[in-house]
Amino acid sequence: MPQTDTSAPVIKDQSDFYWESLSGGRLVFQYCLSCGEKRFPFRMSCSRCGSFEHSIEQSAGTGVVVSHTRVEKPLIGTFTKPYHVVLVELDEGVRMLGVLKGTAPAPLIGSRVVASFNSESPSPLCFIPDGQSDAS
Amino acid sequence: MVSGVSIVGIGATDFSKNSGRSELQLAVEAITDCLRDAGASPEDVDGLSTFTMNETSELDIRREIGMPDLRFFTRVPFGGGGGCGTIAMAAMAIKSGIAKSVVAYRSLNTASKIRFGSGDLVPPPESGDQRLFVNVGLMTPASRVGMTAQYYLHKFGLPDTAYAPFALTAREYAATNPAAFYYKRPLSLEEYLDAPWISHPLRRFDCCQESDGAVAILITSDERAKDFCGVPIKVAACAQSCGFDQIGLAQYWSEDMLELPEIPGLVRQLQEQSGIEVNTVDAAMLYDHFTPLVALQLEQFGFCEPGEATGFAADGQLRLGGALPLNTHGGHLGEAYLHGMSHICEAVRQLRGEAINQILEVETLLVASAAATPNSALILTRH
Repeated sequence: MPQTDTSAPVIKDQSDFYWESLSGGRLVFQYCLSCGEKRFPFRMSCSRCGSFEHSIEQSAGTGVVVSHTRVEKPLIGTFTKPYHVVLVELDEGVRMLGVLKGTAPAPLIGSRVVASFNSESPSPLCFIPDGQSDAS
Repeated sequence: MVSGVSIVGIGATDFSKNSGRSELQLAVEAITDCLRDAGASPEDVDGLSTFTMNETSELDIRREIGMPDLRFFTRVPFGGGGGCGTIAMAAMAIKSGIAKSVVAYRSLNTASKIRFGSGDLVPPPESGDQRLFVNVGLMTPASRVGMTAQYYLHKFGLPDTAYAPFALTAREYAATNPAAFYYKRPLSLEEYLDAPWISHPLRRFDCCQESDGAVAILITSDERAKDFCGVPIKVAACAQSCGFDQIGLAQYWSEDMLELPEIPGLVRQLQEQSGIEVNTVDAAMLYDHFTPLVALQLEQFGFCEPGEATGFAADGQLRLGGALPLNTHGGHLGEAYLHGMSHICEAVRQLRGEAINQILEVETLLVASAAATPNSALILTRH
């Protein structure tokens, strides 16, 4: 029987690190140390070169809206009214999903947004249109 | 290569929003109807093929149907993507000699029991990609597809009414199909536009129904097909394909998020097996979970150029007499949602020449299961 290293952290899921970082207000992605591919969602290996070697990089949280959808009927209690979900291409070159905050009725594809970690939102990651405050 | 296998029977229950029967009872009714259609007895069947999501047990099916020698039973994963895969599993078992004749079936009460659109099937967001979607409120298939559908409109400069022709065409077909939920109820553009938004740009009638019912299909070898009544329909090709870096109904992280990454693999296999160029078939039964994904399938199976599918539909090319009659039973949008299995039945009816909305000249048909998931497809032809 191989010895189990009980001091090693238990990885329940490869994306745990992403969610833990988000709760600390940091937006992170993976960087392949073999080929330089920036990677999100979190994966064990690089889909371009297959390497498992990677580092974790932090995003500045700025980017542009790639697409969006307004969900009209909330299905779970934490989402209580229609809400806008945005797919954002961060300036570092990886895409992430978040809930849109702010006063704009609909984001324009290509418009700039900034990440927000307001804990009052049902989503751990939100984006606000560039130039708007995080007050809403 | 699986040539030498035919579909010799199709069966179904009524389709409704509240069957009042168990999924087991629905399955037994559909299988019984299928055997009657084929002129087969339970002794003729020694295999079962269904979806991993199917909630009836093979033990119960065997007991209720009375198959004395059930020797092959298998299930295909990935929900609706597995539909044509159930036929592929049957074909492999028959070609290998493991089974003689296999019933592929699907039974579901998605209207009265678990509604896929309700988010009830969403697992707790503890792991995997599901967590990405649930944490931002993309709980349902419709909301995930909304993101893709919005991007398509933007990329090709189309209005948010662009998907309407798919819904209207499906309802035209359904209106003349007595088995359809929307029998005698065609959809006007005004009704389409007045219906509530589900997840922009998807309106209510861009989304498939949720239905109760069951479908069964009997597959056997060409040699044995002669033992059954009716016209056997040739399975000219059957294929499964899982795309690289595929994420179900949300290819957001592909370089092109409109990509259906499983389609090239399906096309390649279907052509290799059948010798038929997929985009030259006479008609198609494409999985219509959501109208934007019908557009993407038409383009990526090669029936239209990118960005042209909504215009193709608006021009009437999907109607009888058009370039590609599509889902002539009304599909999921008009007839009922049977996880794509009713599409296979309609293809068989068309090739037999007994469809309600019969295509005048049809020799070859493409059937494809749930696009944007690990998927499966068939080419069916006359012998």
